[in-house]
Amino acid sequence: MLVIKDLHAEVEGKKILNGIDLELAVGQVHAVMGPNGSGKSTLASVLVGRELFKVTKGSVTYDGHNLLAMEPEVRAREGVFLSFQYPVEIPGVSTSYFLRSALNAVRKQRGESELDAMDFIQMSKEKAKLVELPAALLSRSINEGFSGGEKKRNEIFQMAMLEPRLAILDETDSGLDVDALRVVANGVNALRSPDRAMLIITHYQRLLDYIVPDKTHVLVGGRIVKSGGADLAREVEERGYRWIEEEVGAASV
Amino acid sequence: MSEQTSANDLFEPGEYKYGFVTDIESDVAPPGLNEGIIRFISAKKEEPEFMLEWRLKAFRAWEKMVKDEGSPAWAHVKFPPIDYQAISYYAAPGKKKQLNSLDEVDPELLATFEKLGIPLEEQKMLTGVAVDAVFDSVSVATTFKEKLYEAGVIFCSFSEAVKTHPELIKKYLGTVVPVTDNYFAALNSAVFTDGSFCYVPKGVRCPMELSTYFRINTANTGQFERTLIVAEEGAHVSYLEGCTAPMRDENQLHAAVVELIAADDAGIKYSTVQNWYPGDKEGKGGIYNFVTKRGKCADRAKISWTQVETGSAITWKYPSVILQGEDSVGEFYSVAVTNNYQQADTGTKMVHLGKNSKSTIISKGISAGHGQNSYRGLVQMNPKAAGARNYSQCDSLLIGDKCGAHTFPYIDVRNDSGQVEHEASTSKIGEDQIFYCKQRGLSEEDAVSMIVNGFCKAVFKELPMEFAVEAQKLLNVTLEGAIG
Amino acid sequence: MAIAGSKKKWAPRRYSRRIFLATSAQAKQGFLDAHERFFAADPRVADNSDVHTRVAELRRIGIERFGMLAFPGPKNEDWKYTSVASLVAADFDPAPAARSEIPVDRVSAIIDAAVSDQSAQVLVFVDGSPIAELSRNLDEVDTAVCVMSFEQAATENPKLLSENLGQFLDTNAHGFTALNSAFLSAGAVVFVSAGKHAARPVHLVFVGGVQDKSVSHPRTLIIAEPGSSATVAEHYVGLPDSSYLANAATEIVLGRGARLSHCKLQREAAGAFHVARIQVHQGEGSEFVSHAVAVGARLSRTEIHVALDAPEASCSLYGLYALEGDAHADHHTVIDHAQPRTRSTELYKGIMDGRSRGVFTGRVLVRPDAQKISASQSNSNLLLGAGAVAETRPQLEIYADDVQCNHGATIGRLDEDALFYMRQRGIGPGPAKRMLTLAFAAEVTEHIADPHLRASAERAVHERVEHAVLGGNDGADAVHGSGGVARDRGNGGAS
Repeated sequence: MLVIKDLHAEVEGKKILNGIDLELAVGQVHAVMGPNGSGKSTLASVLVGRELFKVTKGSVTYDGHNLLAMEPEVRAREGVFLSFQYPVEIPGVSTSYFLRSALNAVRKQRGESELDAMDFIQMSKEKAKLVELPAALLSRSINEGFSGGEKKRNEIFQMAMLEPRLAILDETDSGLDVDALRVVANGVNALRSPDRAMLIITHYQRLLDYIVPDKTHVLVGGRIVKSGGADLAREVEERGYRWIEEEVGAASV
Repeated sequence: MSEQTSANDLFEPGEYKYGFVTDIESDVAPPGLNEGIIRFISAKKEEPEFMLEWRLKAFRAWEKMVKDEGSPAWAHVKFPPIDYQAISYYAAPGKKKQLNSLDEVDPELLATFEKLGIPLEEQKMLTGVAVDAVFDSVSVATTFKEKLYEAGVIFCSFSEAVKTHPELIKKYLGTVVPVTDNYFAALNSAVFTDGSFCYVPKGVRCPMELSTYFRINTANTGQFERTLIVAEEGAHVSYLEGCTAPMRDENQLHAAVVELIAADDAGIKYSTVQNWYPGDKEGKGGIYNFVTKRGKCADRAKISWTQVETGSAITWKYPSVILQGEDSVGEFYSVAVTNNYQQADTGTKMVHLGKNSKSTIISKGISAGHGQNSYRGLVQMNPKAAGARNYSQCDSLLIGDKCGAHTFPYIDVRNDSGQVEHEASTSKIGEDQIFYCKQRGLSEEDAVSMIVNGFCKAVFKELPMEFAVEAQKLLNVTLEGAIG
Repeated sequence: MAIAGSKKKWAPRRYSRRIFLATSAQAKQGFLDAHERFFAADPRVADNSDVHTRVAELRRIGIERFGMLAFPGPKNEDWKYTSVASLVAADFDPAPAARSEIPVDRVSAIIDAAVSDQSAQVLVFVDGSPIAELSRNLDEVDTAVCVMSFEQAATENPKLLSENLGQFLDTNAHGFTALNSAFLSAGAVVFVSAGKHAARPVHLVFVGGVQDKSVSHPRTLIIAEPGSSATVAEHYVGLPDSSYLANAATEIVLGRGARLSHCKLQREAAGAFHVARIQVHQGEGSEFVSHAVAVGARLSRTEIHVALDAPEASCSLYGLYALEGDAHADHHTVIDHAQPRTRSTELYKGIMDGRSRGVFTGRVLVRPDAQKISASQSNSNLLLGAGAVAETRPQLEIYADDVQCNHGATIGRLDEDALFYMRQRGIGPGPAKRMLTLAFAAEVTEHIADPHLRASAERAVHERVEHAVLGGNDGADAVHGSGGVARDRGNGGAS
């Protein structure tokens, strides 16, 4: 479903990704771990088409299409969803109005009919339960005045509404306490499906206690230096990133 | 000037009509302002011809302004009209009255020195007491000069520069503040007697803060001071003028001009502490301080103004930056305090011409007693200044119910990619803040001083270290008696 | 986002001072002559009733002041960013417009578009004259509020007019206000009885441009007696494709504890000139809410002066200007905290597309000994067009110490992060821009309490924004969507 080949990317002339290879099959959940500055969030940004990030080499195909050639909103309509690390606040635009517009854009792409206001409300009520998001938040401006936990729950709620085929979760656990983490993780787990792939980007392993990945990749210096199963995440948690860096260093000598 | 005396008459070589008979040997010019006086000043200072021409051009511009509009009236300050013909525009340096010991100095002034922690020798310097041999200012100055000379930095009095580096003066003088710029700048250009000149060559980082030296030099600052600082490509210099000690001066009117030129990648940091005599508690006396300060920034250059204005009866001053270059940066950090009957109308102009130029304005005004404190600023982004940014914050603090705090920002953006954010607030010190401090055992005075210093922190941190400490003390001294 | 139109040349719309002075003097003389012709021997003054004496006096003072003040020139600091050079050069006919044939269908359509509520009370003026046939529901007996033309008021309640008209309007402000008084002849009176609450808004509709090149001087007097409350809307509209000058003045007096919501919707024709001054005098504990929406006219200037002249009075001023093309709109507000414990809030926003220019000046004055004041002011501007200009001057002038005052001003483009966030959720750049722009505007219009008026204001802004954001440049998705994947326009439309 998602095939990343030799992906190189830079930000304002600074090389961040130095040849990423990764294949994600439909129905699978992969975790990408890495120390600060390893390029995790850059990878997420490149996949959704942030203009600041320039791809200098390599390719990304999504269902056989060239993902990098698509505009950000086209990627979204094709089912690529990013749960932002720092969801932006948009004053004056209510969450429900915004989301209905987004949902109808996505549905139209899928060849489905537009949802009317009643159906939308019905649907959002159901999905909001998934992440225990108070319905009152839906009538407020997008993320404005939301707590850190509410913002992240709002992201997962939107993911539930938009039903993406590829969900990228960028540091979704950052800034969450244990209870909020559990709520968010439960929401994500409920959305695991044979029709959906997920890429979970995280610094810590604790999210992966709740969302057990099929595969774990360790990103160091803009490259995937080690891949393994769910155990790899636990190993990283216990031993830190240093040993991998050393191992890689030794291997490359 | 009367109508009958045309400019031509005055230009008649060798003969000054208009009854101007001052002997060139004289040390003091008679009161009054005319072309003869300008020629006298220029001759006294043995200036080259181009300087005289320049001064005369300024004088004519000033005369025209006097005729057309008179002294500018837009600032939020009130003062009786100044009689420019009653002022003497030249006195040879070093002719100030000398005192024999500190005992002859106003005890109130000495008490202030004590509070500010100013060394005894320096106190003498500042009050015009003859300095004894222990403190050899000349040798200190010489040491500095040698060090600067090694680095290739030219730093001298303006008069000296006119003689030793006329080509530099000719090239740069008036290029940032033209003689026709404004009333007081024109006046200054016509009659200035001295000031400082600093030239930092390409790629040179000035090895020291140009502060201590200046502080020694500053005791003889003239009434119409002229400063010109040039930082060539990639050069950096930090310059500090003024003094925390209260400056007494016989001259009521001060009109200085400062020009800064920062070439590509250069950086100039200009810090001022202004503490001229503010007048007494009833508002009698005090200096009128009308200053034009402006810098020009080329590509990636940066000019940063920091000022602490606590003195003068009237302060009229808008240190500005013309952001000509791409990615150039302008900064303005200001603390202005008005107590008793002081009036301040100060702020900045940030004129964005270059792409991605950035400016920051932080202004803190404090009013006490019957003081009137105005922030007046302009942020302008021209059509070519794509991606320009500005952030401004102007806060005012009121102490007492007879003072005033005013904010007059002008924001003018002619570019859809420009971005400006301006915030301002005015309030008095919170009673709950004072109470909180008192509850922890502080006196009211200490509490206010602490809160005021906190209010100014964002500006003080831009001052060179040792000066920041003095500035804080100065603030406390200035606000003495304002509380309770 | 690419910097669009950076090659576009910016030409200052300045006339030389000399030309301005000449045309301005000529236009001034035209008005002086017209005044002489029409009002020097006004037969109506001769009947010596109080109203006519008062009107004659106001006209005399007005023309005297206008003679001294003339039109504001480039050296007038209050008009620094607004040049009236194009106005004085427009060659308007200064004579009061003679009643001519009114194209009823066209005018009715304009009125219906302005006031969709068919049951509302509407008083209509065309080129400055009241038109009973176009007005609606005025004879409905409402015990709370009374809407009359000056003519009616002069017969039904002469004292009301003679005692209040011109009492607070500052004719010294500049030539336009003086001119309004000088040519005073018709106008509207809204009177809200003490202690009464008017449930529905009263609408005044001023239609301009039926006679091309005409000048009208609409005058409105609103009196809210103690303890009353009401909503009054002033609509300024005009025949499209016509050029005219509407020079309005409104006086508002709020008695003790009165509450008034005032809504000015400026939707003049694109070629029109519009100058308006609203002067408000507030009694103790009264509450004034003002909305000023400007989407029309080639050049418009709206001045709102509020005197919080008694303790506990409060006011809220909301404004929104949405401009395109070469339009120029200037809003100039003064809030005078003359007495203790008065409060004010102010929120003005501008949306400038094309080469339009939005100007805002907001002066907040706190007088000596007016303690316990709170005043907050905000002005935000969105620049959509590469040649658009925003100028803002928030001013605080404070002479008392127990105050909480602040102002903020911003100028910028739409937030790139917000735009990207929306696109990541599948919304195209055009609809995303529109959604963000409308949200920006809605933060002002949402404060209009009356649903009809709010809808009417929103409609005016939507039309303008729709045109601006999706009108020509990069609104549609057409430029996006490489990669051979089918696209659509999203559904960002109004719900």
